Amino acid sequence: MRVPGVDAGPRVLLLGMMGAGKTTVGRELSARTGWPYLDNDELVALAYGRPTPDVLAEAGETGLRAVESAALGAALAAEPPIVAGVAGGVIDDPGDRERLRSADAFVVWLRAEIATLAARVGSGEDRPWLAPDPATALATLYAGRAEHYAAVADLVLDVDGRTPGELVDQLLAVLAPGPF
Amino acid sequence: MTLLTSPLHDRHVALGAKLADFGGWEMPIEYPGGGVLKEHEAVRQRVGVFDVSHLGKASVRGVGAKDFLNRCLSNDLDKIKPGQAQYTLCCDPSGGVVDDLIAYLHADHAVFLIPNAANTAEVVRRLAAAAPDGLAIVNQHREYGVLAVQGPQSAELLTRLGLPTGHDYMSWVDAQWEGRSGIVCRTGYTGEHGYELLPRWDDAAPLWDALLAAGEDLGVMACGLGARDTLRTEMGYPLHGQDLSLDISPVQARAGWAVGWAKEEFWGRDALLAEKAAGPHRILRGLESLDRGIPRAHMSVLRDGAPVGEVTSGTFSPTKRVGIGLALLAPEVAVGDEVTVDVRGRTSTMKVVTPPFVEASTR
Repeated sequence: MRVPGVDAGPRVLLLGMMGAGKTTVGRELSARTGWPYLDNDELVALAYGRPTPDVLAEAGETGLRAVESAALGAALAAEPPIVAGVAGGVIDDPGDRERLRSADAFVVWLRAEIATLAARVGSGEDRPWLAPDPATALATLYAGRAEHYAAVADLVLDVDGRTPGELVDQLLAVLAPGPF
Repeated sequence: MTLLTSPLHDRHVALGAKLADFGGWEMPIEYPGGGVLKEHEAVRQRVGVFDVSHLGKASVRGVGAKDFLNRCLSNDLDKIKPGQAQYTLCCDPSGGVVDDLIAYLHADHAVFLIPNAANTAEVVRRLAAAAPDGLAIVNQHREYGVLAVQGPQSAELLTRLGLPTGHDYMSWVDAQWEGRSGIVCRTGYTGEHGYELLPRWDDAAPLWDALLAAGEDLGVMACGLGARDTLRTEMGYPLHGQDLSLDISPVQARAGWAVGWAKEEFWGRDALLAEKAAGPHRILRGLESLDRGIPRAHMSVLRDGAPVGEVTSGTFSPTKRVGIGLALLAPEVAVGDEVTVDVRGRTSTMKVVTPPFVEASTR
């Protein structure tokens, strides 16, 4: 069942780069529908018991990937309806990509221009792995990811120049329950 | 290649149906105790139930879904309202037909499509490649079964199952059957009053059983795709791959009624407008045999000994008891002309006619 809103209710997974608006859009969608929102950082904290920066500091990038993969598993196992943000790095993992493709979930790629992402993540103070030049770091991360996002997404939403409310309007038009 | 099977495959095997490959799906041609002629007659005179679950199902969802499809598909979706269905074409920029399909309008943000089995993936691929962000093109091929209930007693049969029947031709309603939800469409491919039911995939088998059981005293028959072909040919309905194809445009196939000529944009528009203005180099006409010959696809059509075209579909009409067919003929061949068809070495004389061969009772 790949079209949500018909049987057990939707399981919406929000994908995209950091700064694409997964948390903002997820919370807005949750507020409008009442579907619980599971943020990736919360899922990571649940899986590891510590926030994401601590995981990175203590377990390194490989450890963080493993925890993010576990967080995806938790989002896929949660009882629908739910909305969940998926960690940016999950898309780099072939096994997780396959899980996303075959998941009983509606996968949304929040697509953004690098300039939009760079403006949103600011100087990168909160995200030390982007320092010293977020735009270049984001462009490097983004290279190669776009085709993977496109391959797993049921829906692409361009976020540039759109408010969270407008994006949720678009998303709800797709998810609206209907006879088909 | 392993053939796909419908949710009713076990039922067909149990009934001893003769099975064949239809667009990659193993589907019933005819059933023992029936056969094409009896199954055809059941639909014209009583009611028949067909498994056509091999047909594709796809939906286009999101803000502007209808407007997007209206810029792609040939017919004008602005001519129908939510709850209505429309026959339309997915054309190539060359004007050839990728597929003919039915579009079911739910709302401006949601349209459901039933393409042909073999063409569904290609239609979905073309739509997905063209879709702007914010639209989801979802291939739902194996989420719904399709049962066609066709014939003068079809409404009576559906009523016995508590299903709605009063809606207009080419419209659909949301329906419940024993707590299961599905769609009841007033559509078909037989020319009779009829319905196409879309249960969820797993509900198709119990619904099939219920229809055959409830219609026993009505003389309901399980009907195969053989009878479906003779029924549609009597109506002159084109079959994609024979009477419509990438090489046969709607202008040639006299399917211009399914083209929204006034629209500013749809796939194949420029090529089709040019072909319409210049006049097609061949036109799909009906052929009715004046002797015992039965036209078959690919047979040559001659007039005064000179080739003037080719048969695209042909069969024995169970209703008229005569050979009938569709043929692409040179434009100078007129309705009423007599032509000959080389039927396996014997010359058969046929009259050029405008289908349908049998009056439609769809409404």
